[in-house]
Amino acid sequence: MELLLNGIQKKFGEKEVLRDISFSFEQGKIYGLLGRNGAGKTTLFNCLSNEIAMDAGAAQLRDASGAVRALTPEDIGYVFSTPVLPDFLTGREFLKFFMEINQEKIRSDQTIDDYFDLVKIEREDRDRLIKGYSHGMKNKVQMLCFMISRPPVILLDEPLTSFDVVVALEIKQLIREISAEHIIVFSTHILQLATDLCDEIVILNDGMLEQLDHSMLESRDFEAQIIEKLKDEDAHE
Amino acid sequence: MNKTLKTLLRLKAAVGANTFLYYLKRLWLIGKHIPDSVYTREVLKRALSVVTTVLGQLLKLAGKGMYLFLAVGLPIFLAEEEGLLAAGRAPAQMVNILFFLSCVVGPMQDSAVFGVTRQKFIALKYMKMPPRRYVYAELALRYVPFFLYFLPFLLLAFLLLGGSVWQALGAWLMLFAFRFLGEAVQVWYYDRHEIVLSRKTGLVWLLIGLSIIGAYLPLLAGVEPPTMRILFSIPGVISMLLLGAAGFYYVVWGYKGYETAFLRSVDQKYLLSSMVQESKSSAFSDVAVREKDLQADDGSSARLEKLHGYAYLNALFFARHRRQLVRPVKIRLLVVLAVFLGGLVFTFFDPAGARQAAGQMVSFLPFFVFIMYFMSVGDKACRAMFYNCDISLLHYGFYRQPKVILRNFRYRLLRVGLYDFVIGLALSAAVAGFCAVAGAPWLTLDMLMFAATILLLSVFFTVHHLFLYYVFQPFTTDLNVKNPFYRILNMAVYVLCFICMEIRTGSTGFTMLVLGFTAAYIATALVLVYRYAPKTFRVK
Repeated sequence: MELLLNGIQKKFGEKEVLRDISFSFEQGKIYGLLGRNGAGKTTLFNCLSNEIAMDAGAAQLRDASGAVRALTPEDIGYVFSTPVLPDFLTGREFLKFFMEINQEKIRSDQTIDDYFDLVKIEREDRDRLIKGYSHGMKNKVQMLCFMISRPPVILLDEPLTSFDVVVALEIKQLIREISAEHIIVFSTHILQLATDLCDEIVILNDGMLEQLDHSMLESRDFEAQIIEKLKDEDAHE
Repeated sequence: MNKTLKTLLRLKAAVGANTFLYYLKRLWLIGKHIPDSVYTREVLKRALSVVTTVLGQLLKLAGKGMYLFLAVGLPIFLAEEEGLLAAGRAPAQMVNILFFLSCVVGPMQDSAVFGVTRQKFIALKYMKMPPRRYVYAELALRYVPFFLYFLPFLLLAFLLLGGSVWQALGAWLMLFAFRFLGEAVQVWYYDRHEIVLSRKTGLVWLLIGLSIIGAYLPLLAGVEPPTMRILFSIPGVISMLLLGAAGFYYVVWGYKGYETAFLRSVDQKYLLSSMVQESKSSAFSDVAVREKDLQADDGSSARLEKLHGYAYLNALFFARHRRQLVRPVKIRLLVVLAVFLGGLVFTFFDPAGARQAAGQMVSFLPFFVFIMYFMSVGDKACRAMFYNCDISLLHYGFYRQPKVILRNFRYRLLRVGLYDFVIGLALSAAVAGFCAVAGAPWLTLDMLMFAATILLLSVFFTVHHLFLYYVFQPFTTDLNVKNPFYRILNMAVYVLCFICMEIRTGSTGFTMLVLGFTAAYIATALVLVYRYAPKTFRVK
């Protein structure tokens, strides 16, 4: 399976945020989308998940048989940097609802409590209104959404920033475990996270995507090179 | 001091010009043609800042005149018309009103020293301006225009209403003295307890209530208040001078805490704009869920367990919003009941009058259009749906599928429609019941038409609010209402209802018109929802 992006463009007023996004993401790899503040990482994710409309270009999925079809919002599990969950439900009720809505996509027979155990949400928190959850807990519930529905494409917008070190490690483990069956793109501006977790690093700069060479990942002055790259692009703006 | 004043003025002007441009860019149709680079046009911005400053001052000047006209002149004029006030007695009442409103409430609910504005925040927290000098500049900027602008209008008001120049000057002195006394009391209390009195909303509202009574009760009762006699006597004037001067001295030189404790009072949460923000989100705060709502319906949510998917979600939504939706319905039913009981009492004491009133009930239909507008819980329900549910779930692809949007719309329409329908039913029953009890004919075609119209109106207002919500989705994530069409349509329906009230006779023709219009509107709205909501129902 492959996610194909073709000439995606997005403007806000006169500001061209995405100029020409063309790339192909492969299944089984974790991609780190690296970019500076305001580079357009969230905008790209929003375009892919149809949160906002792109001005031009297309996103498609190519399945194992080679057939290509348009990417639909249902293909995507999107973990927002600021979690969005309905305030008026308890964690358990939300998961029950979510599992029933995505019934046909669920392959495992895990129960709600199994899922809660998976991300270590305490028993007493499961039946509280989501309104009272901390940022980290809400983020865990969002993570559970794609663990449950297992969409082909998973977009994570700055996901680990709000977790403490222990949870971050657990989540990293989870992402690695499921990576074989999915296309996972992980946006961050923290270089360490990207190099640590991802198989490939893609740089979003000046409205375009560029994959970093593997030889570069292994080189010793890798960090310096990336910073040089990001600065460089800045200079000709 | 001079430098601080200049910096402050420039800061204010720059913020004014930028704000103007910001909103200009957001204007419908015009905004698109203004480039982002407009903020860099120095000369244009300087010109704009002069214009906004001058306009601001003119508005302040006009504000003083309006205030004196509405709060002082008009009530006195009306009292004279009604014969409550003898000729030549106006000045004592004017001084009394001014005393309570401008000398008691004014300085207590608003303080130049403690008021938090955006520019104050910028100047003190970011630019680290010396606080004492900032306060001086702020006092000058606030009070020099304040007193200057009041003077001509005070003279005008007193001379027009039969007072003298001396009385006008006395009132002016009174404003001066109590303003600074008030500022001093606030600073002094803050020095003692680190509490800003003007932020104690309970206290301020209590004071406002009492002061309004103090200001207008003598006028209504036809009693001459002693305020002027006391304050404008020689000892009174001397005391005012001394108190005002003492207040001024304390605020300017006496208080030593400007560099330390005072800075702690500059808290962003009291920022004027965040107050506006708060009042905006308060449109939503009355629909926010609380942990208590969960406990309140423990039994029923267990019963909902066996429901599935969207049915489960929707049922839980309404179960958890009892406080926001069912309680208002109950309150409305109680009001209807109370009015009905009032009608019974009326019938008991004045059977003839009641029969006559009951006979005309049906012709009051235009008035009931307006009542139904206020009885509908549709608006509240939409805000709750957005704030607690849709604002987050609309981020999920599955929730945005056209068939899901329409399915939820249907469920919500029926549910909210039921609430409104029950209210309409109670209202019709109360009217018919009153007619029956009062001995007027009630099993008539007119009454049937009346009840049918009320019920149709209840459906109409439900559809109206849900239609606006689903087709225009006017709310933004920061809880603003953005869509101009939403405002226009909402306003139009309100104005129509209001006009209805002005129609005196509820003839059969009128009933037919209402029936026809509501039926047509409901049909159109539903068609539009089915056609457009799948595309337009999004978080913006």
